[in-house]
Amino acid sequence: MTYKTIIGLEIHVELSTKHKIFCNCPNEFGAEANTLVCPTCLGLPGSMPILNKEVLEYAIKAGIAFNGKISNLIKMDRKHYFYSDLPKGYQVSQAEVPFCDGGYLEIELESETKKINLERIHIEEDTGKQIHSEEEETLLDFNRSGVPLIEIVTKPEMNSAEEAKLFLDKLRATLKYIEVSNVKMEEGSLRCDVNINVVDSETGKKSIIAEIKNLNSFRAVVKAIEFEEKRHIDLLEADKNTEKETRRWDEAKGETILMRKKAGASDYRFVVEGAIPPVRISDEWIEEIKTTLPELPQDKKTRFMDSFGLSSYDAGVLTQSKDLSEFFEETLKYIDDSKLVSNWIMGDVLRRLNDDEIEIQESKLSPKALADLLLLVRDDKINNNTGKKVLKEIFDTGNSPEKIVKEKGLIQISDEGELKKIVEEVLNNNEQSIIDFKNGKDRALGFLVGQVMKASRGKANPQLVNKMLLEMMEER
Amino acid sequence: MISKDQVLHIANIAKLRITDEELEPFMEKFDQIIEFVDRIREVDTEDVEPLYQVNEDNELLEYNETNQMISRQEALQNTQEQKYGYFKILKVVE
Repeated sequence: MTYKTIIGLEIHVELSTKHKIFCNCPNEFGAEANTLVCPTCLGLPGSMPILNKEVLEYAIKAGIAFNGKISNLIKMDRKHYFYSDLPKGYQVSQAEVPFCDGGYLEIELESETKKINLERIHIEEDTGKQIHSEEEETLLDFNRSGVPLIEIVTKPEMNSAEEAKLFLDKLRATLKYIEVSNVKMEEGSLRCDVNINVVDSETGKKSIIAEIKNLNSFRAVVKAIEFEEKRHIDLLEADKNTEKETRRWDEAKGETILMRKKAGASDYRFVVEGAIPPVRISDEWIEEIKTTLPELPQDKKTRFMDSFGLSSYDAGVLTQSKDLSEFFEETLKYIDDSKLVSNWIMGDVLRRLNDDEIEIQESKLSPKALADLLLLVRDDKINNNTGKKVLKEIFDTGNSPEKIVKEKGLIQISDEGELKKIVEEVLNNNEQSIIDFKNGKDRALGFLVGQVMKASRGKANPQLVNKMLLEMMEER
Repeated sequence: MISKDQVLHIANIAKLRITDEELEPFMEKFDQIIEFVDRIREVDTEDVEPLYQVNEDNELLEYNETNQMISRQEALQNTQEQKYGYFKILKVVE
C-alpha cells in the first residue's frame, strides 16, 4: 500500500521590537528572571494593556513578505485557558479577524517550485517561561510574558519531512531578511508545531491528525515527522485510529509521547478583548511599510537569474541567506565573472561553511580575498586544484591569497621551457603509456598528465601539460 | 436542556469544582441564562457589519521610554513561595 503524508505547520515567531506588545517593558532575551515585568505583563488586576504600534509594523512587514492580505481592522480577542505560565487566565490573541489573511511561500524541490499556501497570520502575546526542576517544582519567569508573537499557520500542503524543512528554511531566511525577528530556535524566538496525518492513496482512508509540540530544532522537526509518518501508517494498517491528540517530541528517546487529547476551539471561549479598542489602519500606512522592506529573497532570486545568468537552483541557494547573497554581490565588484564566483561559492565555500557550521560573515573569507583568489585562477597564475588549497588556507588563517601563493611557492608554471624538462623525464620513464596511448587508450594521457603534475608538485598548468604531452608524443 | 456532562465539562475547563448537590440547580440556572441570552438571535442582523466597540476610530499610540516596570522584589511580594527570583509552584508536568 502507498501512503501520502499531509503536513501543516504552526510557527510562532517572537518579534524583535524594542518593547513588549501591551506594555513598554523591554523585549529582551536572557535577563535575570522577573526583572523585565510590570503590572500589565504580570496580569495584575487593574492594569491596562495598550497595543504597541511597533508590533503592528513588524507584523505587517512579515505579512507583506509572505504575500498575505493585510486587514484594515486590527482587533484582539481573549483565548481562555488555565495554565501556570499565563497569569491572566487568558491569552490576548486574534481569533476571528487575523491581521493577515492567506499568503504563500515558495520552496525549491529538485524538479519544481512548490507553492505552500498560508491559512493566516495573527498577532498574540507570549506567555511566561517555565522551568521544571528535578525537585517536583516548577519555576516561573514572566520576562517573556507579553513578548509579541506572530503565529503563522500554513495550509496542510507539505508532503514530506524534506518539504517541511525547506519551508522552514525559507521562512526563517525571509524573516531574517526583513529583520523582524532573531529567529533563533535555541532561544525560542522561532517555535514550530507540526500537524500531521497520512492518507491511504488507494482507499482514501486517513489517520487522525496529531499535533506535535516541543520541537526545538529543524532537525527535531524532521525526525518527529519521520517518526509520526511511521506511527500513523502502523495505526492505519492495524485499524487502530485514535482521537485527535497532542503529542510531545522527546529528543532523548527519539519519539513522540501523548500529552493530551486536543481541546476543541469552543473550549477556549474566545471573546473580544474589551480592554484593547480595535484600530483601523489605512492602506497608506501599509504602503508606507511596504517601501521600508528590503529586496525579498524571491525577488532577489529572480534578479540573480536575470542579471547574472544563474540557474534557478543556484540563485535559490545564493539568496537563501541575506549575508550570502550580499557576499556574492560584493565579490562581483572585484571580479566580473558571476559564473565563476557562483561556482566557487556553491562548491568549496559552502562546503567549508557547512563543515564548520558557521555563517559566511563568521568566516575568515572576505569578498575581496575570494575575488583575488579567483583572479589568480582565471589568469592561470594558479590552477584549479591549487586554488582550492589556497581557499582552505584563507579559511584557516585569513591570509591574503597573494601572500599564501607567494609564501608557499604555488605560482603555476605556464612556461613551456620550464615544463619541457619535466615532461620529457615523465615520458622517458613511462614508455608503456606512450604505446598505450598510441594504441587508442586515452586513459594513458590522463595518467601522464597526473605524473607531470606530481613531478611539478601541483604547480604545472594542466592544460599546457596536456598540449605539450600530445605534441611531444607525436614527435617520438 | 443542557446535559449533566456539558455542565461538568464547562466546570472542568473553568477549573470549578461542582458537588453533586449543586449540579441540578446549576443545570436549571444554566438553562435560564442560555434562554435569556438566546433572545438576541431574534434581532435581524442581515447586512449589518459587526461592531466590536462603540469607537472604532482609535489611534495607535507610540510608546515612550518611560515604563511601569517594578522590581523583582515587588513582583514577587504577593507570592507564597519563591526560589532564585522565580515564582515557585508545584511541578506542572510529569
